[in-house]
Amino acid sequence: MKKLRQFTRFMKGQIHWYLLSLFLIFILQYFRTLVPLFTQHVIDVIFGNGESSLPDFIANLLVGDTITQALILVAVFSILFTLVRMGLIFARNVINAMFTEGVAFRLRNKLYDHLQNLSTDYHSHAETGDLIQRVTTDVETYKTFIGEQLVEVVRMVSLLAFAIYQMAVMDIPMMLVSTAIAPVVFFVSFLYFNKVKNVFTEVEESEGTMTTTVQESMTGVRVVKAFNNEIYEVNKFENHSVDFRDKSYKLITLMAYFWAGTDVLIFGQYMATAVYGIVRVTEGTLATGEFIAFLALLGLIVWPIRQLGRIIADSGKTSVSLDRMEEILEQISEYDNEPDTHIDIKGDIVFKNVSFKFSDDTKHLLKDISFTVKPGETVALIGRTGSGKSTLLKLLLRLYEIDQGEILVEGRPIQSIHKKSLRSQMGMVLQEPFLYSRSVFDNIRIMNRAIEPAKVEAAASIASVHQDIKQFEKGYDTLVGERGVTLSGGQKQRLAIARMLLEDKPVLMFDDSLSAVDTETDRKIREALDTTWKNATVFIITHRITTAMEADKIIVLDQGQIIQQGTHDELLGQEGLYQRLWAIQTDRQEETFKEGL
Amino acid sequence: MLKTKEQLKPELQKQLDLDKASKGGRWGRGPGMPVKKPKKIGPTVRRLLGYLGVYKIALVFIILTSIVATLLNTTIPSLFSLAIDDFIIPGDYSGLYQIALVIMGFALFNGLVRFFSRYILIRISQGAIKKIREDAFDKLLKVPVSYFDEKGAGDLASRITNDVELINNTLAQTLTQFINTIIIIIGVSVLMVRLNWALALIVFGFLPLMFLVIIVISKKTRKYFMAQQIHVAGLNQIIEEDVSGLEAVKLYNQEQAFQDEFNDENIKLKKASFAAQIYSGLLWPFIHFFNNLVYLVVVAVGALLYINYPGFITIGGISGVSQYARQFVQPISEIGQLFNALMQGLAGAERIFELMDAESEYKDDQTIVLDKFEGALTFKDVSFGYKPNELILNNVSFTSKAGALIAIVGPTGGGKTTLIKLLNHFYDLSDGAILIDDVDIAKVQKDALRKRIGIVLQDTHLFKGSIFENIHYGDLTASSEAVIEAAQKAGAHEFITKLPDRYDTQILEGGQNFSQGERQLISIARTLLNNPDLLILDEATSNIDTRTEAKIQTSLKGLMEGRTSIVIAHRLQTIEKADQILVIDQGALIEQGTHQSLLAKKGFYYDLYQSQFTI
Repeated sequence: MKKLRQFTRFMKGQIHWYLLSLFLIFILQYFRTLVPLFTQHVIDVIFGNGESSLPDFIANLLVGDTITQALILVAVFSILFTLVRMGLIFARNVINAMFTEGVAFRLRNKLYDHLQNLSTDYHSHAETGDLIQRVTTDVETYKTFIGEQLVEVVRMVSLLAFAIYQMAVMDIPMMLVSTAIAPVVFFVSFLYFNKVKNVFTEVEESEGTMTTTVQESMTGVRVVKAFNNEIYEVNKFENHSVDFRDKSYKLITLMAYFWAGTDVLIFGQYMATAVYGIVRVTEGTLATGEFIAFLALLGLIVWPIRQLGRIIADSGKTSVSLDRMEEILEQISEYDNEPDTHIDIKGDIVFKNVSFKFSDDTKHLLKDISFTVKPGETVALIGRTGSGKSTLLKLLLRLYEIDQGEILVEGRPIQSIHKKSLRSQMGMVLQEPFLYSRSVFDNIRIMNRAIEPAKVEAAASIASVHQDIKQFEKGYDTLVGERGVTLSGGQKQRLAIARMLLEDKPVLMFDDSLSAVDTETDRKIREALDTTWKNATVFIITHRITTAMEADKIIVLDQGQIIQQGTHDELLGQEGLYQRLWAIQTDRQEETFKEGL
Repeated sequence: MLKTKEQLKPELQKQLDLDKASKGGRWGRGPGMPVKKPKKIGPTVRRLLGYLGVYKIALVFIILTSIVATLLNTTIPSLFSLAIDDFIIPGDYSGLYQIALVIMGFALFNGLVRFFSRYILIRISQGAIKKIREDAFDKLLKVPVSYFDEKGAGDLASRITNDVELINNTLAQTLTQFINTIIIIIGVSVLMVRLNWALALIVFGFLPLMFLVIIVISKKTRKYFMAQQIHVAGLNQIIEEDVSGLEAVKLYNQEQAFQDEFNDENIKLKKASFAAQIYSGLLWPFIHFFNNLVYLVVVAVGALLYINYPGFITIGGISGVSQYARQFVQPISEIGQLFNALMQGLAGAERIFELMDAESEYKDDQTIVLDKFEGALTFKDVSFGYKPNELILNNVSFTSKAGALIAIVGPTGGGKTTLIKLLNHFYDLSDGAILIDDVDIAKVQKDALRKRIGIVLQDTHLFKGSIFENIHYGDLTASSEAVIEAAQKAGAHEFITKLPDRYDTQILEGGQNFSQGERQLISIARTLLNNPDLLILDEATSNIDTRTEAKIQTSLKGLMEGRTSIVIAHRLQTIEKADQILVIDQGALIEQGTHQSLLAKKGFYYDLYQSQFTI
């Protein structure tokens, strides 16, 4: 029952179209089983003197004075009849396509919208490829199921029912003989397709491993060659290749047995009907036309039965897809229950005993963090990888929610301010900036797509990336990302700076965002920034102590805790991590520098 | 995800792969596959047959047997007519049983032949395919690195999987299906004419109209299926961009923009899918309609002829032609599709063979083998560009002593990385020569040269497999003790032993489950195990945290000891220690010397150093 609700949930408001489509399928199968009866009518009624197996309302229309007249009537009527059938089939196709495409369309939009509104916490645990599959492939599986597979089941079951009915109307013993083997074919197919699924998975996995090996050897070809390990790679590949071949053999053998086996069964069914039919015709207890109609009706049902087994065996897949889609929709959107408060942010920020851990983690990533920032100040965050620097800034953007303690922005608890209000006024430049698969130009003005070209170029110049862009063949129109030019880490970072320069945000965060830029460019950029953003409140995460030393306040983090905070001079005077870092990074530099001068 | 050569629509291929993975459609053909025509059919076919080896005869035998079986099968309706005319109507039932036995025998024979030929064919083709796949892979490891730059590693990888699969389909299925279909069409035509030429003519009369309809519908269907795939790929791309950069999307308030974009693409997809469904749904009703129409017309005209010209046609003849008319329609409707599939398979084979014909970099390999380098290094007027007329390095010359530490400094994009890439002869120089111990490396056997040179790059490539296997990769003959020793020397042992599975911990594809620092430590251990005489190093920029950084520095110090080392340097410590500093800018060596001498010169290096310190 739960499955059924799950199954119909996405059809809401449209389900009548679906029922109509299924009803048409049902009717059409009845029409289909009438076709062989026309032949029977011709042979037994027109040429012989038997009874017509056609329903009376049709048979009565086909009474002619002469044989020729009767034949013409049958021909004209059957052509009209076929035309009506085709018309109905076409109409049903349209209804079905409209319905299934509409359902798929709405479902994709719904999933995507929801996906986007989920928290970063959810996304940090989800794999992108998997989510894509849920929005496209799983929807497609569901669509195929409702639009084709289920329809197919209805089609075959009705066809079977009508065919048996027509047979029974003509001759019950013949009907029993003609449908004796059909159930066996069905069960054999069902069992086979259930089994072959697993073998299929094995083959796919084996192929997957082989493909991975190829890709790795190709992308790592320099390493392979550098270590002279070509032969090793070839052997590794050959092992996978052999494994894949052997698994394929297994699958092929199974398939061969199945197709051959069921062919024999179906052949046997034909023979049984034919032999018994001939006996009955020679006895004179079965009309020739009826015999031929039996063979034709048998032909209608016996081949599709194999497919029925397959569809039923495959329907498990749809159930899995449904579950996967539901799973996304059940997640709570991060914008649900948000307070409708939007405020002007100046940069008055207070952290009071803030702690944070991921919901499924036991270890706190941040513990007992307290500090105060005044508008216009520059704060440097320094510490080892994993010490919690980036997490701290993400709490301020409410990409993650705090566990304990309090963050006050302009004196208000951060949870009482709408997420979008915070995010639109705090600009963050990531260490690994995200570039979209579009032009350099559009990437820079991503936040404001109406900005004029001159401003974009000006921003790029300040960020020292204008020269690089000019060197590309297509300049600012160069496509970046997956299908375009690959930019170096430094170029990406400078592009992200340019992006932020177009915005006038009161709070700015740089998450180690100049790490891949060489030191000279780093200095040039930061000089330019000092003039552009002199009123902004700035957070800088860095590993370079020379960058940190200029800040109004330096916060040293270690294992999620603040171990030191103060100005450069204060911290240098204290024994601690800051002093040690200073020693490591400037080791002998000063001496050498003096000597050098 | 694989990338393919398909420059026009890479996303289309991506979607096809996705579909393949999700639906397991290996044994089927997608209706929307773009049709690529092969250029040289003859040679490609001959070469393909070559791969079948002794099984070539089996293939010919199978094709001949299935032709015979198909022909016998097509005679069944004729036998039925015979049965009706000669036995049923006169009432000769003993003859009827005989002919029933013959029909049964033919059908059984056809079934058996179909079963065995299909089974054997698939086995033969799997064997041939395995050989092709392995040959292609083997060749790929012999072509120069520049080939990979040119064609793209992902693209080449996809040839070995996708194109080979196309060949497989062709050999195992399409070929015999195609031949059988032609046989059926010809056989049925002949038998129909023999039964009754007048009725046969009626059947043929319908053909042009049928072809026309099939072609029009197929074209439309293909068009919309392709559009459908392109739009699905479009959606995938939007989701991928959005989800993998979701933080950025949220930070930049781009949610609505993405939603609009998705919605637009989604509408396009809906329209294309709708059209694809409608058009593909048209084909069957049409064929079915023709089928019935032809059948009815044959029966009706036959009956009229029978009544009006009794000697001209028999009841059996009517039955026979009407049955043949039904057998006729399906092969006719499929032949075009089969032909396209055949061409696709050949095009795939052609691409694979083209790859196999690429020139091996070992073709003109030299013979000098040096067991050990002292490590004295000379660059003599070295110029180089990936493309012949775009030089990246221009006239670089320097000499250094064995065992020296050489630091390369300069702005990003100046040619530092290119310079070190030339050392292990992955590329041929445009001009000049590189000498190690006064021997031109162009004259040294490539494998021998590379064996003695170790490289540690920033962007470390690790393989899927255990940590142990990855370090062992440096020297596959080394003992497990040596592997652990190398890890210890590299300073990687400590973090490895803290992992639950220690050295057996699996590294995922691309090494994504390890931090960059850890990956680099593993890579250093790998190089240490290889024990090269010359070391090439691309020092990490500051992406790594200070503590791991310190560890890597110590580890590298161990690695550099007693060997000539060339380092792209970002660390002051390294630069200051260097015996020789090369300053590279815009492809030229603009300054060289020691730290002190370069500072004293107050040139480019001095500025660089100044700016670095004063920040």
